Amino acid sequence: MGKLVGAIASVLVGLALATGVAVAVSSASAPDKSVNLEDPAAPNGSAGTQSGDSVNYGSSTP
Amino acid sequence: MGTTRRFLVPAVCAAMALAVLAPLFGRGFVLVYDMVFAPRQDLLPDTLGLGTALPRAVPADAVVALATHVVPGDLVQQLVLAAALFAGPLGAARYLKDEPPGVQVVAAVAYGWSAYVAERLFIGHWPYLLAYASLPWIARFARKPRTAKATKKSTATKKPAAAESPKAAARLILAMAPAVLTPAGGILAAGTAVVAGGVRRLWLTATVSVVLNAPWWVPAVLHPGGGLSDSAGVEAFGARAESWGGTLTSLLGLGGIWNAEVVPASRTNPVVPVLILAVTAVAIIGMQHLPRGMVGLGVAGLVLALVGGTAALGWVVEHVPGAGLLRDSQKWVAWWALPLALGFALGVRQAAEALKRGRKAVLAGAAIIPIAMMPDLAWAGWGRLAAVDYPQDWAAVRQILETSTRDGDVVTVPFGGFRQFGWNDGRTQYDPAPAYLPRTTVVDDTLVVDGHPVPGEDRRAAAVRTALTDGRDLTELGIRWVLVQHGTPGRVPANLLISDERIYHGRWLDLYELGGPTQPDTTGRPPKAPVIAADVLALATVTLCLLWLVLPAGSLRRSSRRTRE
Repeated sequence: MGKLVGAIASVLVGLALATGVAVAVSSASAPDKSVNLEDPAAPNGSAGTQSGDSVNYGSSTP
Repeated sequence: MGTTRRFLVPAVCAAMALAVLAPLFGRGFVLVYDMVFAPRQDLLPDTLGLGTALPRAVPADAVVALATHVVPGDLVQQLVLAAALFAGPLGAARYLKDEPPGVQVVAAVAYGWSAYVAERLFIGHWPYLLAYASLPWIARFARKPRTAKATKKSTATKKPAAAESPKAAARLILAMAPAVLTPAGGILAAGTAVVAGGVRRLWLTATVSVVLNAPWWVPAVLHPGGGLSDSAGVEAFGARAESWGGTLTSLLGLGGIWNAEVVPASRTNPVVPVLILAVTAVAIIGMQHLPRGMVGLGVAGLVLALVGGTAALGWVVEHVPGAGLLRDSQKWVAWWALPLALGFALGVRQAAEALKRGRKAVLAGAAIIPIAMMPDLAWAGWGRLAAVDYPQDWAAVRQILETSTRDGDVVTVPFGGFRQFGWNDGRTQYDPAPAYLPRTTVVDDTLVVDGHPVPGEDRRAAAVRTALTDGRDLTELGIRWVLVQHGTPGRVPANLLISDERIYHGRWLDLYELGGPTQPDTTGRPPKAPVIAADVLALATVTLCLLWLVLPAGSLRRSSRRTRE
């Protein structure tokens, strides 16, 4: 029982640490840094158009 | 050794709060989505729920207004955020005060480093963070005086409650006070208090809940608008899946907020749903040591969050006054957070007890899991939040409005609720004008989600919108000034300001003063007397409880008894 608990705990902590490291590395390396944010496809709140009438409170899609 | 054990949990809680907020300390304001603070805010009718809009941020705005008359607004903001992020995990740990410090640390980290905290912080819902931080304390004080042993043993072994002590009631009221700053926070607090107190203390928890929440429910009930909301918001603000695990898994992990823009990137990692399910499984094992009511309330919160985006709720919101509160359904998983964190800590303790050695390593590993799962909460979301200064234009406009003797209110254009200013690095933020300016400011309460408008309920805002579209005179609606904000998306009606006088011109703001007499606005508002009475009652209750705990009232009573004997 003790070995099983230890093994499960090790796996969970290992997975969590791997997730954290992956997020940290991808954030630090900023793979999207070359994206042209100065000229985006459509401004926030424009519903895909270029009207730019209002600012979106948020979006349900990432 | 004793001192180390005593300060371990508070030190961990302080370290977590610092790890998140350290970049935000110093002078400046964190302006993001709904979080708007200003150097000094005024006690305007809207802050008390006496305006034309529904009292969504009441009495939070009034409390901030009073606080900023004593302490600068940016410091108030930092104190509020620090208190919320410190007190929440400490409360979760204190709920398990009879457990070893290691178990308490696991509970503190699981509660304090959660997706709920991250997402509500990033969307600027600071009153919800205060409510979230209050829940463990409410659960603890509502159950007193039988809390201590009941946390170790099953709740099936119910002990008779001891006689009510005024101090216990005072502690409960003070624990609830930070939570009742908004309607949703007040309901979260009331639900926790009523369930934790059980039938025996229902008279106390229900009464306290009604009194403390009066500052928002009285103006809401008396609001002439009827309190009905548009069903379009139900789908827009429903809980959503953050990864392949689906909505339920996201909610089980305390995430799932409607707005994908405020979700930490780590929540979309494909491993996270697996970890969420594993943590939940451990928590379910530990939940057998928790009161059934607490677990049941947590499940109820999950269910409410799940049904939040359904058509049935849409019908309810359109036909039942006040049901619009049920929108943004993910907020109700705050009820799930406490059993999840405490259950996880107790489950880990149970697992560790099965080991002959390495128990501390298991506890340490369990405490690391929440942080490793979501490292991008740290350091203000890795730069997502930052403190900025308002441009000088804002102080100049405030000065003009403060010194003017003319009547009338302000309308801001572009006529929309949210802004993206260059001086705030383009962050989406609520229009700061209502908080910053010393006059009632009309802001469009239509919310745009995914480019689709969700209509608001403020009839005056609707009338102003129509007037702006039709080119009608705004003075007929009680408007004296028009504040034009530059450097944010949106249009200024071309025909609006041609014939009027510009009295201030700056890089970011222009202020126009409309000529001619202003007509008083006739939009319906709640009556003043009952609303102010409700405010006074709630404030007096909190003040009396504070004095009862701070002043030696109990000792004076005891000494007078001794004197008589």
